[in-house]
Amino acid sequence: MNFTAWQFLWVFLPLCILTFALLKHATGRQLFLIVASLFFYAYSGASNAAVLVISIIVNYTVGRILCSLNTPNQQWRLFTLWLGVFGNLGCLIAFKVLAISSGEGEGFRTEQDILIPLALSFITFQQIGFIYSCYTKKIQQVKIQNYLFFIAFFPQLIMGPIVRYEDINHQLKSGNLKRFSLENFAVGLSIFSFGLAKKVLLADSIFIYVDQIFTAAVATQVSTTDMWFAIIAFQLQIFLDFSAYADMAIGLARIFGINLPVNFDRPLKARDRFDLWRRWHISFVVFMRTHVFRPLIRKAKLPVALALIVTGLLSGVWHGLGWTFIIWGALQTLLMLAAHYRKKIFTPSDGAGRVSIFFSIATTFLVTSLIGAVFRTPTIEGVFAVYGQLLAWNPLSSLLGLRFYLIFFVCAFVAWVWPDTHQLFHRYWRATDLRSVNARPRGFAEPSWIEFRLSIPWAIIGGVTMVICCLLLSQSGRFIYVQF
Amino acid sequence: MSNSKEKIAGTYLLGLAITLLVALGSVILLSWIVDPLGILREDRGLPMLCADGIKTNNDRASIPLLPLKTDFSQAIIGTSRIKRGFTQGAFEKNSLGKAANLGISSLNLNELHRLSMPLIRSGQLDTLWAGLDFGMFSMLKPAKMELYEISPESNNRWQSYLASTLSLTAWRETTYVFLRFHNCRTPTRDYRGFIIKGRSWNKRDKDWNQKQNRLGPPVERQGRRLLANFSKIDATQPARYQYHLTLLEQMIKEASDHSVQLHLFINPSPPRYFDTLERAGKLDEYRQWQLDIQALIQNAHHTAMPPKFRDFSDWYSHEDSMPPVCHDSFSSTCPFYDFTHYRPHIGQQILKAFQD
Repeated sequence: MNFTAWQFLWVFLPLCILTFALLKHATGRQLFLIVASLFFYAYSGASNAAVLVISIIVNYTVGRILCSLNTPNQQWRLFTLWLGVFGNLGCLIAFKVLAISSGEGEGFRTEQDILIPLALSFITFQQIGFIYSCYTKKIQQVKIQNYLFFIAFFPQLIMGPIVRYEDINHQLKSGNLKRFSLENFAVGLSIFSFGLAKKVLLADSIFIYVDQIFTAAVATQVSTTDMWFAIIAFQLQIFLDFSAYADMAIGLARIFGINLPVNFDRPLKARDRFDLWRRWHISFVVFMRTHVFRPLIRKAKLPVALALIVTGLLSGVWHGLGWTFIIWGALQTLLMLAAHYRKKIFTPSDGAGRVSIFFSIATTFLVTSLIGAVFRTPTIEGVFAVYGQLLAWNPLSSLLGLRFYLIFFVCAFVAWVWPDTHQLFHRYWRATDLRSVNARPRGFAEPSWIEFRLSIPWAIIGGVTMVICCLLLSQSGRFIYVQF
Repeated sequence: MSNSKEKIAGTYLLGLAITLLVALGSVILLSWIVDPLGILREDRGLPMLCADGIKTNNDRASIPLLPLKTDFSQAIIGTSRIKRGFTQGAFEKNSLGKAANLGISSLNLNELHRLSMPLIRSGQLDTLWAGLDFGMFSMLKPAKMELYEISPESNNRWQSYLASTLSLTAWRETTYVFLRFHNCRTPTRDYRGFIIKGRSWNKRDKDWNQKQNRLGPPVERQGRRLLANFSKIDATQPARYQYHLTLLEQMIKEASDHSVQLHLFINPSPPRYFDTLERAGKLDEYRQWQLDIQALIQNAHHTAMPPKFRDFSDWYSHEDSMPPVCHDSFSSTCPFYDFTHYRPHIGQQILKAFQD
């Protein structure tokens, strides 16, 4: 089920909230949310649900074994850990290989059909994180209902944020489900509505033009300016689409009293590659840093550059086994290495002027957009066609009209001028942050020039936004990251 | 959590609920006045504000509902080529009785089947015309048919009110009428589905005439779009293609069983359409499709009421078959508006060809 589907918005969600509010005990509420979440997932296909249930049972068992084995059995514990990790990765890779061999393409997809069990990439990472925490004894014991809730809780099930068992377990133990709070409901609903508006009004509107230009560029010729606008518009689209989902997930979870981790922190304002990865898909980056990059440096004693290469390539492969994703991962790695050595060679100055900051942001965004073209194009031939048209001067007439430029302007305004969700809702912000305090860019969850309050003017804005979004729902497509 | 916080949240939620109700009420009221799908007709509110006819551009929302309130014995169905190529006058000139134009932009075979089967079974039709296109059989992305349909049996006044004022489709289309700055006094199609030759039609025709008298940017743009669409047809299509042929076969059988005369035809296309097909490497597939349709019709010859079939695709497929002035132009005296759509006088010739 999609968050922008009618069945979800008008049947599933209201029923869930109503039942949750009517139930008296935290245990009952937790069990209800587990059942509802499994139904939510099974709606995408019974076979998908079967894969999820089997995966949950296997990982729970592995986690239990790791928790119960004592330290003297270190060899067995290590063996069990690797068995679990390889089992999860093997399953993910097998499905991705199957998807490629089905002949329906291996790169970026805009069609509706999803070739691997829904959200498998996200679930796999979450479960690997869990068994690793069991191995490192961060988790001492696991209750099956808490584990089920941790994996299946529907707001974060499909596209993250990738959560840690410890965080969810702590909230369950703290009694976050004990009472249904009107404030949580009001704030959660508002965060969700703003996410919905980002998706339905902006991301889906600009998608039409991006898709049109990329399709035309692969098949025929487009004008150079159209191509440049398309790669920039795609960056805006993917940010608005993915961050909209994250907002919706955080809002939904908040309705039920659960705080999910923040996943985006004004990424299009990043000043360099490292800054970008502190702001973009935060839960994924933190996972990669904790479970791949750091172990490679600390345990495998790899040089930083080599660890960066491995991490970057794995990030690409996580999205898919297609060549375009692998090249995208390789390009990201090259840029990270360049940024790494630049930092080593040139000591960064303490302060930077406004002009310098502007150019840093613009350069980072432009480079991201250029690499994004590889991510967006479904085939290698397509990538060459797109870059060819970016670099060669094709003074053809534009396929883009005034409506595109209007939408483009609004999307750019939201990306760079409008405050991010954590800033807009800073008064009520409770989402967790997986980053260390030092890794948080300045201004995170601080007030901005406009801020949300539980007041009548904001109720009117929220109500009108909701009605407009609902009227335009049928035009809404799936979320980009659901294919991964 | 303190009570004051809960109270503030409660007031906010109350404000939100009232806003939702007021906004929704306004949309319902506007739907009643605008009647974007053309269901209410004379029962709509303040009829002096909005003209008769369908106001929405979304054919998928309005056309499936059209048969419920309109009496006709003949219907023509197909893509936007049908929508733009056939007028009420063409049917009248060929003495073909009361007709309806059920052309829907980018219609695929699945939708054609879904739309025509209830019509065939309803008993109100004696003839059904269907214009076939290559794209209908191999469309990459099946377009969505509106889910909201009311059954003919429940066609009463209150049902119409519900469908036109309490359906999401009607609300959305009302919003679009305003968002697209359409004046509700300039409907897009009449209650028989024929494009109204009103302000919008004349404006569009005038624009086309001005911009397309020579092969300028709009035509070149359309060529690139068409090429991109053709190029999207890939190796994953055969299963869908075969399925679509089966649907057409079912339609032929159903028409025969219900004594509905089916007139099937392949739409004419200009030389540039075939050039583009060739550039996309799809011309052979097109030729194979023509053969497959012919074979299907041959197989149906033994049925009680075999379909009549004409293939008009070669009418204008070569440069020498076009009027000389139209070699590099889509002007109003030429058979085509653009790469795909033919003008109403060609539609009239198609109807006449079946009479001969």
